Amino acid sequence: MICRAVCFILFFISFFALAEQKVIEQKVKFNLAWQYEKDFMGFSHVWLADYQNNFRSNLSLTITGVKDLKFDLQTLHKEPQSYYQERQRWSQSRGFKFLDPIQPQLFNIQSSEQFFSIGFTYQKLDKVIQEMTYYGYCQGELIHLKSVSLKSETQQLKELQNAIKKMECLK
Amino acid sequence: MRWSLLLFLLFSFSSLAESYTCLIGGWPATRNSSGGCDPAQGNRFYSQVSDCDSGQMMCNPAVFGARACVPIDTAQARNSSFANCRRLTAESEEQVDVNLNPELFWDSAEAISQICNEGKGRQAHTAMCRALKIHMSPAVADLEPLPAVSDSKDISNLNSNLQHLTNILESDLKQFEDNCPVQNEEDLRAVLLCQSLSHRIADGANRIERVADKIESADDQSLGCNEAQSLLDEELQAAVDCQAKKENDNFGRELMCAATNALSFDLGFFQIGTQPKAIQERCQNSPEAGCLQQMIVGFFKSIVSAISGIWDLLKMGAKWVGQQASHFWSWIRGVEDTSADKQTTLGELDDEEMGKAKRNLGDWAREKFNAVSEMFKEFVTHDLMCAEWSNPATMSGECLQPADWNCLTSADKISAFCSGMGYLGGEIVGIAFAAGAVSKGVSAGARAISASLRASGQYAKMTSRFAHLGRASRATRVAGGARAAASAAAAAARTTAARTLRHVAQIKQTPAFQAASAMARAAAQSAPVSLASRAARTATQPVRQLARFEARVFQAGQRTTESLLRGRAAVAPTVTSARTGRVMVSPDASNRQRTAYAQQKLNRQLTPQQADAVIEAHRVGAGQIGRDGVNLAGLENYTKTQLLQKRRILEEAGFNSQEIRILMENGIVGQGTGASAYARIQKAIKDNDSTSVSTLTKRLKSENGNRINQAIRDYRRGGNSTDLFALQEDLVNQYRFLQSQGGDFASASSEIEALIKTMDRTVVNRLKVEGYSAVNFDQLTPPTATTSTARSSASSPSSQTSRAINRDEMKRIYRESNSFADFDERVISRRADNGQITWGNIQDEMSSNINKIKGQIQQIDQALDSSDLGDMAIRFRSRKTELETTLAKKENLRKHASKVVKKHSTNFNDVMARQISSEQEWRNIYRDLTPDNARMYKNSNASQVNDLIERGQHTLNRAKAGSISMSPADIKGLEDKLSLLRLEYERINNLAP
Repeated sequence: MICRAVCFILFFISFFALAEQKVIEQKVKFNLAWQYEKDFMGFSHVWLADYQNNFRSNLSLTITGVKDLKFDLQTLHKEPQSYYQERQRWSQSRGFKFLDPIQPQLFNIQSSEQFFSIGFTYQKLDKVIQEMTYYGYCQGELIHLKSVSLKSETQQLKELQNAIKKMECLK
Repeated sequence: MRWSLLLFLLFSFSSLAESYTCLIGGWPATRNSSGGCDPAQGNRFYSQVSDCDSGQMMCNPAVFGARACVPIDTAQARNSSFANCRRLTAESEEQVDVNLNPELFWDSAEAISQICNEGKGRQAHTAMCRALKIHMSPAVADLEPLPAVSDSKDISNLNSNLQHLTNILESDLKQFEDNCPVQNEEDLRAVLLCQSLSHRIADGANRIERVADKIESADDQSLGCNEAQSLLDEELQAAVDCQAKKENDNFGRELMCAATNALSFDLGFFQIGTQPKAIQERCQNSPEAGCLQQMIVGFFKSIVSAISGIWDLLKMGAKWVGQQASHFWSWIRGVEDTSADKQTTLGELDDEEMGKAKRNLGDWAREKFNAVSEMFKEFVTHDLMCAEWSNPATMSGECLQPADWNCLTSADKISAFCSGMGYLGGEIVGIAFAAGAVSKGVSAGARAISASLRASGQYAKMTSRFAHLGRASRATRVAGGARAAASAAAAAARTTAARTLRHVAQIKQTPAFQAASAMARAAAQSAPVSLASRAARTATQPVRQLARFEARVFQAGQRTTESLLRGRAAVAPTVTSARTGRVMVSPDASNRQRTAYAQQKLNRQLTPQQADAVIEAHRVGAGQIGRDGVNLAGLENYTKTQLLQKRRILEEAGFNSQEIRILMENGIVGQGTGASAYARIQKAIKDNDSTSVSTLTKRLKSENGNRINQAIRDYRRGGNSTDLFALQEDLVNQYRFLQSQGGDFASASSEIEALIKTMDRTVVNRLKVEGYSAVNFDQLTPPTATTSTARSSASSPSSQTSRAINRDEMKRIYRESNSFADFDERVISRRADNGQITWGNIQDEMSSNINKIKGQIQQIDQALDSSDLGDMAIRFRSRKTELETTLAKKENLRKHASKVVKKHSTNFNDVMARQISSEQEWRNIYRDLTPDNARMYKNSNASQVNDLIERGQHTLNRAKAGSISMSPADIKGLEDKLSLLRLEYERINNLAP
C-alpha cells in the first residue's frame, strides 16, 4: 500500500516535471517547475516562483545569438575578481549593499557541456538577495542565465540549481 | 583693483616683457646714461616700426592706434610727447588695436602696468599714467571690483552684501551676454573682456553662496529691530509670492506634456499610447519638458526594453572580446546590469501586480508611473526639502515641517523630479515595490526612496541642492506670525537669501552663465587665448545640448537607457561622402562605436593606447575653422595642419601608414563637417557631380527642418524675431537657386518650398510675429546670374584663396598659445603652495605642454620648409626661437615639479590633507562640467588620490618592515589617513556621473 502511494507520488511528480519541460528555441531543454513566461518585460524566457516572504524568485534564460565568442570559461573561473568589482559597482549605484561573493564554479550540465556560474549576495532594504549568473555554450552559441532570489529561500535555490544542472543542450 | 585685474590677465597671456623703467610717447623704454627715457635704446620693437626723422619719435602705434611722429629734440618736447601723440592721433579713425601687432601690444601693456600700477620707475603718479590706464584698458574699465564676502555676523550687513553681489553678478552676466561669445577669436581685447567677465561671474556666484551660508548660520538675535521690521515685510511678500506661484504653477501641464511626448516616443518594443492632438497643441515644448520627457522615456524603457536586443548588439563585437576576464565582464556589463535591474523589480511584484502587468504591460507601466510620481512628490516635500526634522543632527526621524509643494516653482519641481527620479531611473519601480508602496500608500514608497538614496550616497548631494527651497517654504509659514519677531526676521532674511540662492541657481542654468563657467574653467585649466576664445565661441552649443536641469544626475539615472546605448557600441552609424561617395563613420558616432569600427576596419584589436589615440585624433580640429576658411573643420574639410596633427597622434600610438590611411579615409578620426548640405549642393553643381544629389537633397531637407525647429524654439524661449526673418530669406534664396537649376534639383526646391510654407504657417498663425508674412511663391523671381555665381565661387576656394588660407593657417600656428604654464615660475609655485593647483597637476601639465610645443615647433619647421610664407617667415623663425626658450623653461619646471612631487611623498600628510579638504570644490566643478569633461576630471582626480594611497601605503609598509623609522602613533595616524583617502577615492567615484 505504502509502496503504491509512493509510486503514485513519484509518478505524479515526474509527470508534473515532464509537463514543465521546455524546449527553448530548439537549442536547450530546460525543466523548472515554476511559472514560465515568454517575452515578458523584455525577457525572452523567464521562470517565476511563487511570491513568498515579499519576494518572487525568478530566472531568466537567453539564447544570446553570440556564436563567434571564443572566450574560455576557465578564465572566468580563474579570475573572478573583475566580476565582483562589476557587481559591487552595480550594487552601489543602485543603493544596495554588496554582502558576500559566491565562489565561481565550473560544472557540466546533463548533456555534458561545461557551464560557469558565479554570484553574490546583496542587501536591498531589509532583504538579502542572491544573484547568480551562468554562462555556457550550446552548439557553439553562448547561453546566459540569471537568477535572483532571497538568500533565505533555500528550497527555491535548490530547485534552481537542480534545474540548471539538468539542463540539456540539443544537438 | 580693476587695474590689478588687467595685470592678472596680462600674466595670463604672458608676453616677453623686458626690463623697462620708463615710458615715452607710449613706448616702454629704459633710461640712457643722461637719465633720459629713450625707446631707441631700450625697446626692441621701436627700430622695427619707426621711420621718423632725426629729432622725432614715432608714437607707439599699439597704444595710439596710428602712426605719428612727434618732436623730441627739446626737453619740453620730450615732456609733452605723450600729449602730442594723443593730439596727433586723435583725428585718426583707427582705434587701439591689439591685433595690429600683438607682441608689441602685450609687451607695451605689461610694461605700462608695471610702471603705472606697480610704481616701477618714477612715473606712476603722472597724468600720463592716469591717462594710459584708461586708454589701454577699455576692456576692463567698466568692471568694478567684486565686493569681498563680509566678515560681519550681522544679518542685515550680510544681506546687504548679498544684494550687492547679486546686482553685480546680474550686471556682469548681462555684459557677458552682450559681448560674448566672441565672434572673432583674433580679437584679443574682446577675448580678454569675456574672460575677465567669466572669472567674475563664476567667482561672484561662489561668493553669493558663501554669504547665503553665513546668513543661514548667523544668530537669529543679531538683527536690529528696524531691519527686522523691514525684513518682515519681505516675509509677508514671500507669502504673497507663494500665492502667485500657486496661480502660475504649470508643473502639472509640463508633466502631462512630457508624458504625452514620451508616450509617442518610439520605444521600439510596443506602443504604450498615442498622443492626443488636443494635448499636443497645448504643449509648448518648454525647455523643462525635455528633461521630464527623457526621464519618463527612461522609466518606460526600463520596464519594456528587450534583453535580447542588447545581445543582438553585443554579438557584433564578440570577436573582439579580449581573453581576460575583465574584458568579458566589461563587454557584458550592459546585459548584466539591465537584467539585474529588471529581475530585481520582477522579484518585488506580488500576485496582483504580476496579474496586471501580464494583462497589459502598457497600462500597468502608466499606472506605476503615476504612483511613483506621487511617492516621489511626498519624498521631495517630506524628506528632501524638509525644513525641520525631529532629529536634526542626522536629518532623520519625523519631518516636523514638510515643504509646501505648491510654493515651489514649476522649475523647482521639475528640477527635483529630474534629479531624483532621473537618478533612480527604472530602479524606482523596484524600490517602490520593495516597500509595498502600492498597497500601503505613498508614504511607504517615499521612505523607501529616501532609504535607497541615503544608502547610495546621493542623498546628501540632493539635500544640499534642494534644502534652500525647504527653508524658503518654512520661512513663508513663519510669516504667519507665530514666532518671535527676531526669529521671524532672521527667517525672512534667510528667505531673501534662499530666494537669492534660488535666483542664482536659476542664473546658473542659463546658457550665458554656463558659457561663462566653461570659459572660466578653460582659462583656469590652461589659459591659452585660443582655447578661451574657442570656448567663448562654442560654449553655447554644448549648453543647448544639456538638459536644463541636473543633466549630470539625470544622466546617471538613465543607466538603463545608457546600457542599451552602450550595447550599440559595435554599430557605427555611417554617412556617405559627398565628394567621393565613400561610406564613412558618422561624425555622431560614439567613442566606443568609433574604436569598434576602427578594429573592424583594421581587422585587429586595438591596444588601449591606440583606442585613446583614435579618439584623440578624432578630436583634433574640433571647433576650429576648416580648410575652406569658412566652415568648421570636419570630414573633407580639414586643414593640412589638422591632418598632420591627427597623423602624428596616430603614428605615436603605433599605427602604420597604411592603417592611418584607412582610419582617415573611413572618417574614423574625423569630426562632423561644418559644410552645409546647401554648400555641398552648390559645389556639386559647380563640379557637375550629380552622384550625390539624392543624398544631399535629403540632408538639405533635414538640415533646414532642424534650423526651422531651432529658430522657432529659440523664439519661443525669448529669442529675437530677426532670426526668423533671416532664416526665411535664406530658405527663399535656396529655393530660388535650386529652382533655377531645374532637373535633379526640382525635388529639392519643392521640398524647401514645403518647408517654408510649414514655417510660415507656424510663425504667422501660432507665433504671430509682427511684420512676418508668408512667402508668395507665385511672385518669386528666379535669382540673377550674379548672385548665383557669387555663391558658387564663395563655396569653392580658388588656388588664390587656398594660399590665403594657408597663410591664415600658419597665422593660427603662430598665435597658438601655450598654457597656464607660461606664467612666471614664481606664480606657479605660489599657486601650488597655496593649494590652488598641485605639483602633480603641474608635472602633468608640463608633460602635455612640452609635447604640444614640440608639435608646434615641428609644424613651424614644416611650414618653413614647404610654404610660401613671404614676410611671415621671419616671424615664424622668431616664434620658433621663443618656443624653444619656452620649451627649455617648461622642461626645467617639469623637473622641478617632479622633485617636489617626490618630496611631497615625505610630506605625505600635508598633501593628503589638501586632497581631503577639496571635496566641495570637486563637487562644484562636477556640477558645472559636461558629462564628458566630468569623467575626464574624475579620472584625473581619482588617479591623484590613488597615487597618494599608493605612496602612503608604500611608506606604511616600509615603516612596518622597519626600513624607515616611524613612531607607533605616526603609523596609526598614517593608517587612519589612508582609510580617509580610500573613502575619498570612493567619494570621487561617487561624485562623478
